Amino acid sequence: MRKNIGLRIASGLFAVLAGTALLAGPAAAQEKKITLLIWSSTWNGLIKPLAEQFTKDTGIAVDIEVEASSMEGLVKVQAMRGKPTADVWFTAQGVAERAASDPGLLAPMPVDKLSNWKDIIPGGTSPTFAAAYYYPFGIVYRPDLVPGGKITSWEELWGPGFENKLALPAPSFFSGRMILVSALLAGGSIDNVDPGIEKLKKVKKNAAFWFTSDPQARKALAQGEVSVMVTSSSTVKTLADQGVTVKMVSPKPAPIIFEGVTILKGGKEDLAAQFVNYVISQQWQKTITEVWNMGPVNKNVPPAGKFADVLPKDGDAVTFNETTINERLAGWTEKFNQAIGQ
Amino acid sequence: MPLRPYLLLLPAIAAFSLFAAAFVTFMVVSFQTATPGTVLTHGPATFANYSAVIASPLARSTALATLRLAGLMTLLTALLGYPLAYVLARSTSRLLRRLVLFGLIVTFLSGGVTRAYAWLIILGNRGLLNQMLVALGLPTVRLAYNETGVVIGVVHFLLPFFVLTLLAALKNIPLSLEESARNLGASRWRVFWHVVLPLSIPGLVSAASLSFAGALSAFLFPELLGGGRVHMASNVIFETILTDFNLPRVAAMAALFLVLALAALALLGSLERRTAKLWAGATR
Repeated sequence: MRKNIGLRIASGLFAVLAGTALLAGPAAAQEKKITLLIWSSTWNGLIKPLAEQFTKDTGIAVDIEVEASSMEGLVKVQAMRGKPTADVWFTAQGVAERAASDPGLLAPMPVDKLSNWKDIIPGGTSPTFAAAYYYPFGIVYRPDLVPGGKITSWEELWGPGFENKLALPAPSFFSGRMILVSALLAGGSIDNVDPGIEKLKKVKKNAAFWFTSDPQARKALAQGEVSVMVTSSSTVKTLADQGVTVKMVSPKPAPIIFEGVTILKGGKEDLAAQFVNYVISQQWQKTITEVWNMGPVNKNVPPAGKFADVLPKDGDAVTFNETTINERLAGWTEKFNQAIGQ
Repeated sequence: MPLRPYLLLLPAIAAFSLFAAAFVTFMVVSFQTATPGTVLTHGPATFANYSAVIASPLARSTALATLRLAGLMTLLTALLGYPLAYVLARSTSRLLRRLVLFGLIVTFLSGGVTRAYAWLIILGNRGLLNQMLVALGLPTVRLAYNETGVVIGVVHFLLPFFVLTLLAALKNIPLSLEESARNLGASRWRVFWHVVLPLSIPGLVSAASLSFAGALSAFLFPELLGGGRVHMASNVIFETILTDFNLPRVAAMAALFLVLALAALALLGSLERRTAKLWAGATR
């Protein structure tokens, strides 16, 4: 009898499980979901509400995996080569270019399926990359903490009023832009960054720290631990939301950086393409510039007023060859660490 | 021959094989060449990655800095940890023992990131210590984003490991030895210096070895409290992955740092055996 009861319970459980599987099977097969590999601040501050709208419009659910930086994202993408757990990867243009040299990682952009592709501004696309926004790499500062309440040039950061007050990006952050800016200021170039590294040695005393994580540096700026952070324009908005008044200036030379999306090879390229088309749409681009304080890449959307204020003046902006940066960054980093380390 | 004991070992053998396989793969990669732009590597086997790392001034200075800082951190941990372990082992005050133990357990259980940020609040430019100095009319000092901050953070992290390891050794020293020495007229200090300390040296070396190993592999505190200036092995390996993407070279760098760390730990192990023979009468 006991055996019979056990058998009945087992049969009943099996029937329930089988029934559930039958019911869930077609639903699971129809489930439409993509996963983004994205920075947490970009997700929380910008994409999350837009993704909810995207899901409502298309029925495609959006999940995320977090990357600490573009470089770390590339390590992840390379590690999951062939069987990625993400479908759309947010990254910097230079890092996307590096990833594109591995034919097994990125799917080509299906240009014919992207109705908004034709509206992207020059420089914002490549065969495997669509820019989501651009920004100047510049100086974000606390007017209440800097001498005179204002900064107008890079050279001022080397001055006496900033001792132990600067948060500067390490070479692995912004793909070595700090070294390149310093090189241009010191008469060097992308082909000769040695004068720039020598110049950075002279700012050692003023640098409180070299950051590899922008939340840590933002926190330090918010707390007055430092008065200046060299970074992107989105920091202005993030800190303003926390009630911290900061200003930004993009003096000459002002690198312009594109960040955007790539589609990872993994079988969901069609769903991912729909998401990419939304990213570059007028509606999303308007939100990107107004809410996130970044430059819109859709030519039909003008930069928001606040963002226009931080753009470099005509002739002050510079761009660099991403391939050259990718080839040389490791060498620059080694030289930098030798010069800056204790 | 009974098979059962060997069958019971299977899960352990499987787990060990998994770790060993990962390590062997890592070593194999270190002898290969990176295919530019990809995560792929190819043969034939070469020592080029090892030559490149050995020739790198940054790798050499990092190795020296890592050994120097790990030594300093271990020394400071021992100086701070020994009295705490002694209090835990010998204090007659239950309250004091509980307080020390509570402090250590709280440290042990709190997350590394939390502790690193807590130290930034205390040691930062506008931290509690500097605010105190300003209030006293004194100039501020740089305690964070440099070696000082990293050493403080790592020593705080290592302290529970050191104290709890040493505590077991101190508790194994018979109290009767100390009481006999006291009965024969030795002062407390003399008893400590001539009885407790020599007998605890093997335990001290064990605890120091554990701390040294922990200090050698420090990553989080140099990353958050070093301000980009303090280059310890783990951080340089991490940064090299992020900027070079040359996995074979990074694997060679990690392997060389590992060899260096193992050599240092073997030296400490030999010291532990010698001190056990000399001071604690061990026969092994």
